[in-house]
Amino acid sequence: MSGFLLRLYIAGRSAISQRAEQNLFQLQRLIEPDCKVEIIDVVTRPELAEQAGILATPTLSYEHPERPRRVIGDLSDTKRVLEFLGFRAQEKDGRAIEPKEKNA
Amino acid sequence: MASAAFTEKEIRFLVEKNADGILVLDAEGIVLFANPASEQIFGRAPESLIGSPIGVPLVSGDTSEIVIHKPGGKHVDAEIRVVDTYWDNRPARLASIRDISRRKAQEEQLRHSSKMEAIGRLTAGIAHDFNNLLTVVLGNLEHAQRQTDDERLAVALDNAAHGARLAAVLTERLLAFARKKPLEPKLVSPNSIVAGMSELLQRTLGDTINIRTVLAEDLHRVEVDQTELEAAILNLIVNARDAMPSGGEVIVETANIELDHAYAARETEIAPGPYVMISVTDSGVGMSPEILRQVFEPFFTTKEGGRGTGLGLSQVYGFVKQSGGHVKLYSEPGHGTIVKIYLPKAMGDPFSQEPSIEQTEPLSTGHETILIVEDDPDVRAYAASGLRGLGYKVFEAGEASSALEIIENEPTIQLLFTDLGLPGGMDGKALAACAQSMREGLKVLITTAYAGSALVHEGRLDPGVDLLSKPFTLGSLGRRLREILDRRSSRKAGSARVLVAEDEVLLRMFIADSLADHGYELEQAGSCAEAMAKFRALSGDLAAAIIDLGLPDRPGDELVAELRAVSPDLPIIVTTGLSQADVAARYVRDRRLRVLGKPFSPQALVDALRGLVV
Repeated sequence: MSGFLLRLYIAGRSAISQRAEQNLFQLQRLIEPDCKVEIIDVVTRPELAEQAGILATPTLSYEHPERPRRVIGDLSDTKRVLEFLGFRAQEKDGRAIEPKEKNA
Repeated sequence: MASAAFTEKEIRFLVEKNADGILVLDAEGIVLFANPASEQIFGRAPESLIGSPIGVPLVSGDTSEIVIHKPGGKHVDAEIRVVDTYWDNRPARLASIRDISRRKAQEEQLRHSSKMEAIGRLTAGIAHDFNNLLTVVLGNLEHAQRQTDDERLAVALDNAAHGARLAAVLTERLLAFARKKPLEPKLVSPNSIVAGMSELLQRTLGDTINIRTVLAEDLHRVEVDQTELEAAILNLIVNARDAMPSGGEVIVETANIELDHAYAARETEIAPGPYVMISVTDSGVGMSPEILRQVFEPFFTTKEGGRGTGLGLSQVYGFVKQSGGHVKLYSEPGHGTIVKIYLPKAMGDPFSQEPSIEQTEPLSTGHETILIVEDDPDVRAYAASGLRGLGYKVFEAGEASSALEIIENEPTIQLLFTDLGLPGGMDGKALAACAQSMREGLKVLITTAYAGSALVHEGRLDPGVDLLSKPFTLGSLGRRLREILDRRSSRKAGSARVLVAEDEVLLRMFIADSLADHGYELEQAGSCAEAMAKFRALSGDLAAAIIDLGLPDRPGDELVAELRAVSPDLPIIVTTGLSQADVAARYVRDRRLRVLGKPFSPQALVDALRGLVV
C-alpha cells in the first residue's frame, strides 16, 4: 500500500494551522511505509476546499479509494489519528507502537 | 435515568434553543444531526449539513480550536468539544461548537497593541539616547566649524553636520511613531487642512491619478498638531500613489462619526464619543491580512528599491494615537485600501466657532507677598481676595502711613500695589518713592482711574513703578503682577549663574561650552540630589536652571516641581530626548519654563535662556 496521500487543509498561517502542520509531519515520520503529504491553504485555494466539501479546518483527509477518512482538529493526538486512519505506526528504530501502550 | 424525566418535546426544546452548535457525527465523521445553532455557525441549511463528511473530531484535552468555513469564503473561529456516545445504537460523537471569533479578534487586538507598545518603547528608548549623542555631535561640530579656517576641513565638517542633522530627522520620525514627539495641538478644521493641501496632494499623485475630495459640511473641529496632521495625510497619499503604479483614483473624505460603545468594545483602544473621520481610499493593489498586521511597525515596507522608509504609516499611527484618536485600515488584495483616521472632536466646540483665546487663558498665579494700599474698602477687598485666590500672600492698608508701617515690619513684601489717590496727604506716587527708599528692589504697581493726568504730567514714571488703569479685571491685574515680578532677573549685572542638571557628561560639557561663550557662569549637577544641593547653596544667586528630564536618581520633573515650590519665577529650561506632549502640556501654564527637545543647538539654548530674560 505504497504512495498513499494525506492531504491537510488549513486556513492561513495561524497558530492552529502551524500546529496542525507540525503534527502532520510527525505523523508522516511515524507512518510505515512512507506516505505523501500535501498541504492546502483554503485561503489561497478556496476552490479546492469547495470541491472537497471542507466545512472546517484543520481537516486531514486520507484519500483512500474505498474508504476515505477525514479528521478534524490540530492532530495533536497522534496515536488516535493513526488508529482512526488505520495505520500501523513505527518508531524510528522500526519498533511498532502498540495502540494501548503509552508512548513517551 | 435522568433523561426519563424529560419528555421528547422538552429535549427537543433544549437542543434547538442551545446557543452552541450541536452536531452528531457517525464513526466516519458524517453529520447525522445538526441543531439550528450549528446551521447558523456553518451558514448552511440542515439538508446540506446532514450527510456531509465533515470528519471525525479527534480532540485531545477538553476543547480544540477549529476554523469553520461558511459558503462564500467567510471564516468563523470556533471551539469544539467532543463526547463519545451512541446514536441509534451505533457509536457516534456528539460535538458542541461555539463561535469564538469575537473573543479571538479581541485577543488578537490586545496582542497587537502590546506588540506595538513594546516596539514603541524600544524605539523611544533608542531615539532618546540617540538624541543625547546627536546633541553632543552637532554641538561640537558647530564649535569646530566656527574655529577652523581650513577650507577642506570646513567641507568635511559641513558634511558631518549634514549627516548628523539627517540622523536627527530620523530620530524625530521614530519619536513620532513612539508617540513621544512634542506636539503643538491647536484647534483646526480638517476640511480646511485637506482643502489647503489639495494642490500639494495632486502634485504628489501625478498625472495618472485623479484625486476626489468629499468633505462633510458642518464638520467638527479637532485639536491636533496641524503639521503632523498634514504629514499624516501626505503619507497616506504617498502610499495610495505607490499602490497604483498604473493610475487610478484617490478619494479623500471627511465626516463626523459617533463611535458607539459597541465599536469601542470591539476595538478596545478607543473611547466612545464624537470623532472626525478622515479617510483616504485608493483603488490600488491592496494588502493581504499578513501585511496589514505589520504595516504600522517602523521600518516595515513593501516598497521596493529603497522607495519607502517604512516610517510613513508609523508616523500616522503614532500621531493619531498620541492625539487620542484611532486609525483603521481596510484592504483587500486587488481591490484597494482604505485608511480611516478618527480624531476626537475638539472639546467645547459644539458649533465649530472661532475659539475665544481670552476665555481659555489661565489666570496668572503667584506666591509672592503683596501689599495693597487702597482707600475704597470695596475695591481693596476685591483686589485682596482675588489675589489671595491666585496664591499670593496679601497685606492691606487704607492709606500711606499704615502702609509704610507694614513695609517696615514685613520684609517678605516684594510688591506694592497702590492706588494713586490716597487720603492723608501722601499720594500713591509719593508712597512708592518712600517705600522704595526704605526697601531697595521693591516693585510698585500704581493704579488709577484717571491715568494720564497726574502721572503723565510729571513726565515718565520712575524706574520700578508701573501703571495699571482702573477698572481692572483680576485677569489683567494677575498678568501685570506676574510681568513685573518676573522682570527681576533681567536687571542683574555681571555674568548670570546657570544651574545645569544633566547626567550625560558629554552633554553637560557641551552645554557648559555653549553658555560660556555667551558669558554665563555654569553650576553643573549630574543628578537631582546634586542639583538640589547646589540650588540650596546658591539660592537667590541663580539666574536660571537647565534640567534634563531623564536624571538617574529621580525624574527631572520632580526636580522642576521642587525648584518651582521654592522659586516660582526662576527661569527653567527643561531638556528632553522624548519631549512628551503631556510633559510639555503640563508645563504649558508655566510662563517661566521652556521645553527644549534634543538635539538642540548652542544657539537654541541661548535663545531659550534669553527668551526667559536671563
